[in-house]
Amino acid sequence: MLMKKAYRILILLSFFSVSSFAQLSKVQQAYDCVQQGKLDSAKIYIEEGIKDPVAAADFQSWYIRGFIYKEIYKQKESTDIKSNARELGVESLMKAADLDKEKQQLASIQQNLKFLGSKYYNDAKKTMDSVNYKTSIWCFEKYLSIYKFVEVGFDEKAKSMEYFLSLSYYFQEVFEQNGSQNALALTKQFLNKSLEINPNSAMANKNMAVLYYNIGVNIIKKMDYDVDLEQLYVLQDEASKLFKQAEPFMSKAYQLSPKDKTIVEGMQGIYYQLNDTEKSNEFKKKLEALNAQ
Amino acid sequence: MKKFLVIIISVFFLSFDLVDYALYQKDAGPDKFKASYIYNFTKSFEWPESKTNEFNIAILGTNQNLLNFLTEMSSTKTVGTKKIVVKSINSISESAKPEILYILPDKSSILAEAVSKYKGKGTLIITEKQGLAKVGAAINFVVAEDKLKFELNKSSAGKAGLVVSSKIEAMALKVID
Repeated sequence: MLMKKAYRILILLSFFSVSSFAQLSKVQQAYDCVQQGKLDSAKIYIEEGIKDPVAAADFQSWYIRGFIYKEIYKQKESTDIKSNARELGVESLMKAADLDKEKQQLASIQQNLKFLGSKYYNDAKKTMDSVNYKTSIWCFEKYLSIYKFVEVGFDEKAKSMEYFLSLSYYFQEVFEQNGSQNALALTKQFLNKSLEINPNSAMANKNMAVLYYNIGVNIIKKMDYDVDLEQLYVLQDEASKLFKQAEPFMSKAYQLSPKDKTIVEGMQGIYYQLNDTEKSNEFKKKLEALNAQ
Repeated sequence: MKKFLVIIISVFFLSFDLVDYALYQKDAGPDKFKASYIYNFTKSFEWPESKTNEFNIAILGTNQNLLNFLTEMSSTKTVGTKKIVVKSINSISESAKPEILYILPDKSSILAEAVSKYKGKGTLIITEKQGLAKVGAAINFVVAEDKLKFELNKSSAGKAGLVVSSKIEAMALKVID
């Protein structure tokens, strides 16, 4: 039903006449097949037709090609993350947009591109796990390249920050659940990536600080009371190093967002752990003041 | 067509959930280290023989966090065969002779009185304020390079009737004879 509507839209939106394709019979035949829902045949005709230099220079040929592959993706390959049809659809629609100098069909082309871009985005979300995260990044990069292409003013930096922070959060949770060192390394990697994108992100700085802080606190939590004195010194050293690693990130987060209660609480906690009572109390008072507001 | 457009537009609101990492409760920190040090002290000092089945630790002043850790420790550990009993007090008259008296900084002024009261009675006095190892505390916690360490006053321990192990001496940041 939806597909029929889509075809109807294609017909409605397409301003070109059938007769203008008389000399390009293969493209015309592809177009006819699309209208009849014969996507396999449409694909064969469009691949033949596009070889014609005149057709290859016409944005409409690429638009039809893009539409055909988009429909093939929707109907047959929507669960295939590496769908070739989706890639060919994007490639064709981008070419159509480039060739449509007079912007006759640009809005429709962009709408189709956005549809495919959103599917890459959804796949990036779906594959955000320990096994498939590389695929997730690949999908996200595809999404970025499409949206940068179609959306004026698209905030690539903000979207990338959002994505890599989310990815780091996933691995941080895995690390907290099972202590996997690989998950910890990936958490740091993706937080660092977020900070590369925006070193002035309060959230990225705070999350990096909290990561180190929590590992330090975990060392203390797991410590048995009858650990001997030598080991007690070793554990204090380990925890202290982590709190010191946390401090510059939390300080930067505080500079960026001094009224964020969780950051102020983080500052208080770090100095408490570093046995700096004076500074810890200073932030405790700041937190109390914020809570009173 | 309108419906189709609505479907398309609806999938374009794309965002990931942004979540702040949750900060752990800060309770596991220096006070837990103090509790662990104290448990080590119960094994590294020798107390005079006593017939009671309890090993009493009294905390003079208020530090709920330390009290919680010591109470947790006492629920799983013993000193030899003796049960560890932890309590918080506001004055030294509130408690019969404890094996360990932990004087918090806000009660430091009572140190001299406590030293005098428990002289030779087998009470290990622990403090956590700069300089108190020199004026009667057998153990004084100090912060050195961001870490919790302790000073040992062997003389104070001896006057309290305690025997100090060589290990404690070796691990102390500073030993006062």
